[in-house]
Amino acid sequence: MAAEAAAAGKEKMRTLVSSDFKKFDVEESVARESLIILNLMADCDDSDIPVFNVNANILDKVIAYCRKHASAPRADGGDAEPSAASNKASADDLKSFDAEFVDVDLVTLLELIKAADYLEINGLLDLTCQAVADMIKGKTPEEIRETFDIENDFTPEEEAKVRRENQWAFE
Amino acid sequence: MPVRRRQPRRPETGAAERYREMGIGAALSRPWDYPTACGELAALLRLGYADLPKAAQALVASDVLLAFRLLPDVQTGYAVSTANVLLQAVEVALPKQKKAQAVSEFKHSIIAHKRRARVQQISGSPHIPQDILVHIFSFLDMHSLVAAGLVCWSWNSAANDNKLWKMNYSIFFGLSHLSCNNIPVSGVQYSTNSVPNYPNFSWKESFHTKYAECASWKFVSNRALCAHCRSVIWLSNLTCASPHHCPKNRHHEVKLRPLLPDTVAKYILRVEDLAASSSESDDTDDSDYENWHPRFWAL
Repeated sequence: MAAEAAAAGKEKMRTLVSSDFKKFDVEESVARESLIILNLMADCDDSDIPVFNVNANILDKVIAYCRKHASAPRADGGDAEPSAASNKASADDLKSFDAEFVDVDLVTLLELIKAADYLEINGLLDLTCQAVADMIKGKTPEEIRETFDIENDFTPEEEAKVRRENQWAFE
Repeated sequence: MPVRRRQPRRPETGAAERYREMGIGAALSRPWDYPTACGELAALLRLGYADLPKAAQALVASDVLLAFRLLPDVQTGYAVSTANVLLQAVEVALPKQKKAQAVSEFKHSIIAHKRRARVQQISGSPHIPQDILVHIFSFLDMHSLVAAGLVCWSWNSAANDNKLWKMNYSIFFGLSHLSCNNIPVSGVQYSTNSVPNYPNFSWKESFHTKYAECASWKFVSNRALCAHCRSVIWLSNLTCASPHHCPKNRHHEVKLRPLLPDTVAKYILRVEDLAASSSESDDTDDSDYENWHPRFWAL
């Protein structure tokens, strides 16, 4: 454990700057989870990396996600094959982390989606989009509008037409 | 006068095992599968709760209570109406004590459901860009995708995305049977990004036409059976992002058939197991399929 900490201590750190100019020091391996930051790291040498589309609150959460997933054992990584039991424990741990991670209010969830999209963190994008999809599944259009606070911009005639055209799915 | 022998009781494990195999209890905790699970419980109560062995009866009764207990968390109209259907079945089928317990649980849940619906506060949610909406919708099952298209114009546009409907077409019907020159066919591709858009060809219309041809899909069902690998699939889990990868389907010919609640209930109530039919060859055609396991064929 101490050796791991020492190794982590040696790892090169990079500074990310949020849209509200807060600075976050992160390990390079963590920052690499984002394809955009990976490219920016090459351009920025040792200077700060601007993440001007993401505010501090959201960036903090994104970093927490990347840190957890960067430390998770990969199928292709490492010389020593981890045991099936430790693999399962790690997968379960990651699963419960992910479930807790997306257990946030809708506004935060949508901001996380935008951040994941902008930063090109595919795992996070899929996780958050799945969470939003789960809020849509099994609901009527009215219930979806209520959940997402969406205004119905169909005219009554348009709505009747769209409903008629899609009636086949609910017969 | 001949002595009438009592029918031997079914083995305790049989029905209970089949009940567990159907995963009804787990489905209750998924809001989108809750109505189907309630419908299947109601069908089971109606069609033969009394015939079930004690172990299976205990499982069913405990899931009925669970269904009512979870109702406040679901917050959809479908859930309330199917919980009412379940309540009617409870009143007919369950013995006095269990019935009283279930009815009491239902009443508490309905009150909690109404209270929670009133408390729910909505804060204005930010605008979702169109490309992100399409990506979100790739995680939706077909019925939810159609419902999303009825929300507003921007959602309608995203929900009618041609790539999404090509994916849904390939999930439900496969693409191997399409050979017309005007229809782009490149095998089943399971990534929405890799499916090109064809502006002159409406995959949603094609889906609708093909769906309408299959009379068995007329009943909105949330479960299906794969004719190739005999696995029971929750349609709510069948999305562009996670299609059914059938291990026995070599030709990308999709053969999914809907399973109605009564069909699932009848399967649980009978002794034969699904495995009995798995010896059949992989190249079963549709007419054979209808006969291979009559209980699992939604007529």
